[in-house]
Amino acid sequence: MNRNKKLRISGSAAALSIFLLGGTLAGCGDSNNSGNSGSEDGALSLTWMRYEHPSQAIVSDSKAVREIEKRQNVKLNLQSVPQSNYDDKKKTLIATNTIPDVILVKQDDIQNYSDTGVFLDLTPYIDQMPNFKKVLEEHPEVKNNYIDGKLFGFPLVTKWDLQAGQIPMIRMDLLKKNDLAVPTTYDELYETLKKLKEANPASFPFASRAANGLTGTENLINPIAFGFGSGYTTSNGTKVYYDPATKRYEFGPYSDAFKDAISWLHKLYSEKLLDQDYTTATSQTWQEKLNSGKSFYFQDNNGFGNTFNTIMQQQDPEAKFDMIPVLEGPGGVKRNLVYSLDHLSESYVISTKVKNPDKVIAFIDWMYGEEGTNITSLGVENEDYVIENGEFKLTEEAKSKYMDKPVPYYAMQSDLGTGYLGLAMHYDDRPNIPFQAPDSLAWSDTNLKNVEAGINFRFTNDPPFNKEERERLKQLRTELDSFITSNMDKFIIKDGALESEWASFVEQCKAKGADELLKIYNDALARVQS
Amino acid sequence: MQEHKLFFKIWSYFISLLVPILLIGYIVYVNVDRLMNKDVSDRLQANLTASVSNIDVNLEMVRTTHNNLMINDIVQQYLKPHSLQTAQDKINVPSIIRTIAANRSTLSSFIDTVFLYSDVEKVYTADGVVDFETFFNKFYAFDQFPEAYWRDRLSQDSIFEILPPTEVRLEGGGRRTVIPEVTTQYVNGHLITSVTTIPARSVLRALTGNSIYESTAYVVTDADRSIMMRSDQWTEEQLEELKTKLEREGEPDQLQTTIDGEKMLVTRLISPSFGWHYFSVTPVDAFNYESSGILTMIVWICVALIVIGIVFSLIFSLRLYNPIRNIRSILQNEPHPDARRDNSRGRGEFGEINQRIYELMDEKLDITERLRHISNDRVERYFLDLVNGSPWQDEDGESRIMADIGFVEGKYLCCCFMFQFRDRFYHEIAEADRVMILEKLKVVLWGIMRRHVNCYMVECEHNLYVCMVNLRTEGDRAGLDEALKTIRLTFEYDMVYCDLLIGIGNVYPDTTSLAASYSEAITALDKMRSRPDSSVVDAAELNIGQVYYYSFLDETKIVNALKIGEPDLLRKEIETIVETNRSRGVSYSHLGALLAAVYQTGYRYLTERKQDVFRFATEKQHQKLTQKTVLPTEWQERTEELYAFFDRIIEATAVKPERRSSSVVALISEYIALHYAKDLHLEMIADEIGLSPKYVSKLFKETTGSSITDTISRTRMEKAKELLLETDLKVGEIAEMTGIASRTTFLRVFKKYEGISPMDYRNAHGRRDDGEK
Repeated sequence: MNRNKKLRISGSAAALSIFLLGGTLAGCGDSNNSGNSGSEDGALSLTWMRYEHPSQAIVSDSKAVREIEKRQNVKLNLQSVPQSNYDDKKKTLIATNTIPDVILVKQDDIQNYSDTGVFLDLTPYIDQMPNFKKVLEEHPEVKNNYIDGKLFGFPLVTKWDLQAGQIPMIRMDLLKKNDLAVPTTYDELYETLKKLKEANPASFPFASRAANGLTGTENLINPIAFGFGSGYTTSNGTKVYYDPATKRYEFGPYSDAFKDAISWLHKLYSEKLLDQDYTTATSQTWQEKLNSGKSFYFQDNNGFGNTFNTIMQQQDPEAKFDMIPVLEGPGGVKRNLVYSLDHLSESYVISTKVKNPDKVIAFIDWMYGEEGTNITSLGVENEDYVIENGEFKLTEEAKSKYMDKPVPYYAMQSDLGTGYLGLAMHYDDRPNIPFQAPDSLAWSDTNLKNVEAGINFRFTNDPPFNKEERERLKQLRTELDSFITSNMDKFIIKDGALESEWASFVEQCKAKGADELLKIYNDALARVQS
Repeated sequence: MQEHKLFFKIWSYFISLLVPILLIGYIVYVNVDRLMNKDVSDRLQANLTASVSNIDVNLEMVRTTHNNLMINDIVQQYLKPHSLQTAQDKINVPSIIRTIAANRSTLSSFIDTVFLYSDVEKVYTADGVVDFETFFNKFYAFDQFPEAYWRDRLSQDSIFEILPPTEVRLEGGGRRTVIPEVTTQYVNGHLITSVTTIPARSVLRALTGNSIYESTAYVVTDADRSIMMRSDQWTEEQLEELKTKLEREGEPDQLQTTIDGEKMLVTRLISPSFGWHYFSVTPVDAFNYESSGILTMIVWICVALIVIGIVFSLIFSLRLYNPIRNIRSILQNEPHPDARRDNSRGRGEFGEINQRIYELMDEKLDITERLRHISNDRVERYFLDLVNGSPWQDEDGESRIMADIGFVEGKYLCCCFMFQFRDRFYHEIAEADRVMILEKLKVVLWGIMRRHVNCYMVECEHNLYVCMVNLRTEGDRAGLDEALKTIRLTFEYDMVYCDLLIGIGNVYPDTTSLAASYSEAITALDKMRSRPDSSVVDAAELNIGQVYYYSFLDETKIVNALKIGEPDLLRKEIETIVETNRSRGVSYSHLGALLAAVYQTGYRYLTERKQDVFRFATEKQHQKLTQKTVLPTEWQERTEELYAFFDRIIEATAVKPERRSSSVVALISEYIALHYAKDLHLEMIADEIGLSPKYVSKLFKETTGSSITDTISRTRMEKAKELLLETDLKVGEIAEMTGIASRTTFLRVFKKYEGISPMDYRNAHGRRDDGEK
């Protein structure tokens, strides 16, 4: 009895100490399980990276993100990187094979890294994607994105957008004021600019800029040379261009029209009709000059016309840039370069490390479909917009919410997470319409008409190259690019250089492989077309 | 409640064990808190040091980059005032821009912008060339440094200089705080001013980005204590408060203070390369939250321990309480020998229980003692009966008795000690001492024996002690010899007063045969009389027969002698028979049996003549004479008695001789009455009358029923009582007057006979006498 009792007491003492120990351990280990395995109850969690444009902030719980979670049970963890740092960040992630589940890259990146196995090959999945398949049929240019018959990226395609391009824009009010006629040819333009210079001696009537990855010089020559019937660079700066007339790639300096264009530019420079700092002009300085009355003409994105007008009209209600009809070059050529509506060089790629590729593919296909397109482009119908008689209209709530903001369009897109700079992959820019001046819409219409009329030509993306070609292209470009660029500035800036050195310049281009460059492009193009 | 007071008492004892838990918990709590605080401030200091060294590295990189730009070939060759530019120079401008961009991008996070100018017309930036006025007024307008300031900078060369932080306005409305670093140097023969601006944000981000706690705020001041940068969460008042507090404390590296009612931990570090002072200010709440996890855990462990402790103590108390309550109620229901104790509640329940248990133990001791007495008596009775030839029939009781005294195994023998006191003993030693010596003899003997062997001592007769020895091992026999030797040595000096005779029986394997061993021992004693030189006789050395020889012829001889009525003849015949048996080596006990047989012959003789035997022998005598055992000391007496019995038969059946005995008794009584005040004893009296002491003693006892010694004492006490009542003599005087030399002996003897002390007797009776007078 006595012994029993002792045993029982020591037994409970042991139990007590075990209990306490357990309590302590439980106390310690308590805060440790915050694991991040995403997919329970079928939810899909994706890390999604893209750049953040300065105008449109990426909001991590924007309406689109919430709607996607609600409708598709997909949780997007948005990782946004400022556009200025995006290239570095992206390249580091790709090179270290640590990309997020989905990331926005350039066609260049796909070309450079497709064979490393970082990106998921989408080709086997295309049949599972009815919406994307339809998009592919509507946009045959996407073929250019295939690498050795494989598609790695989901390109950003456009359902509807304003059509802009490097269109001649002039201060129509000054023409009227100085009683000048609207120029119809480049020669008339020269005369007009000369008159404007005479009227405003401190000004440099023609302003240009470096933009869209091209230097100031390239961005200046491109529209002029094309208007003269030749051309200069592709959209990524390679010194060949696709000529819609010959339906093949051409090397500009080989043609006389090109020389004429440079000659015309030299004339403008030497007479100080062209911005003397054009080589180092930035978009910022360019805008400053045009909206402060230092320059009166630009042949660049016509969308800026509206911006400049708004600013100028705060002081001078008369001031106004307007589009002039397509100028005629020497020999009667009449053509303009306009931007491609799609952004086919930008694609979302999927990491090969994703656990559930089928689910991801299904989700992205939805993004290309009508529902996904509307959610990521327009917002939620009847909340943010209504469609009346086929016309897009913002709701009153949306209008009152955003109209007072400094840049209402971007404020709205940012909140909704919509648009080209938001989550859209197949985007519809109709929300931009209510914010645009009537002029812009008219300019867009004109541009579209001219596209249909065969006067405006859209930039095309590079055809897909094979690995050898890519290697060779890199080499050739290092040899040609800086050589041509510095020579172009010389021909424009230096008096007499064009006359004395052009022939030898062309020879040297040949020697540095201009022909081979051209051949690579045309071979690749031929492969796509066949 | 009152009833369960004991329960709550037990419970409270257990609960008091929880006090250490609280104590330890408290100590741990306090220490953990302190350690955590220390740890946190160390970490904050280390963190700040790391961040600052990171910033310093970056700032030095900025300076290096800036310097590299100034000594860059392209800048050195192509950068010149606008007015001096040739067409070729203009073509080269893009390369200057690219150079600046390349330099800027090496440390893009720590450089906001880099620009150079060599005249007041154009500013070269990382993006392009901008008109001087446009740049300083629109694109990058410094709040504190207007366009004019930058014109002045160009007029004189200067080494690298860090300007105070300033806000810049950017085209499009953006604002940011930057720290410009400026130098103006001669390049290619022209002064060129070069400016690098460090965004304050990136310095702060280097601090906050590495911050351990999100709520830590940072302040950076230059060497003159003017604030250069600070994180956003501050108001001017708070900064002032911080500043005054720091100044008051002598700007220690660490300080715990209160700012705007919130407790803050301030850490300071001076950047070695730029001399800037960095302060990190962390709200105590931020890290207390961290330690509060552990502290909460400690609290909960203590709470859990205490709850468990209380529960367990409750269970333990319940378990303990019930048996204790039962004990208590049993004790309380037990009839109390001392009713007075019931009132002693004051000592508490436990005291009471304790008290009762002690009482019970006392009672138990009492009972044990009594039981021991009883069982001792029992053992003694057992052995006496055994040696007297009437062993118990109760086998069970016997073995239990044997077990009690340890007689379980081995062999047994019997050992007899007989003291024969000499006259000197009676003469020279006071009676009181004699009584004492006689009382002690058994204890002394047993004590010595017990030291060597397992044994049991019985006082069989006056002066005859029988020792039952249990020999367990071979060595025990030697032990016995040793014991006997010791005994003899012990009594050696007493040989003057007495003879000690020791008879040893044979060894037997069981206890029941002790009777045989006893008779052998007695026989040995008897033999010793014929061998006066030795005091120890071992039966083993003798040929002792266990039968006696008493033939029909012998019986006829006695009957004849009776018929003839010749006492002398009868006596002679009996002596002859005894002598014959003795010479044949018959054991002593069988000699006793022989005497009994002889007595039987007389008994039959009477029965044949239709005579009542009790006319010739008292019942007592009859019993004694039929007894088959006889001790050597008794032998004489026994034979005398037997002769007397036969004499009486002869007297009755033949001629009646004159009786002397009554006259002898009267003579003795007279003598005692006359001489009680002197030292009186048997031998003296016998001498006086001219008879042997034994005969006198026997005769006296037979006639009066009490011994002479007894009669002497009684006479003396009668006299003493008389003296006590009728005189005022002291007790000591009375003792002397009654022949008892020692006062204590007198007191003892008086008490023995009267039951009370002499003084009590005097008080009790004297008073009454007074009343009568």
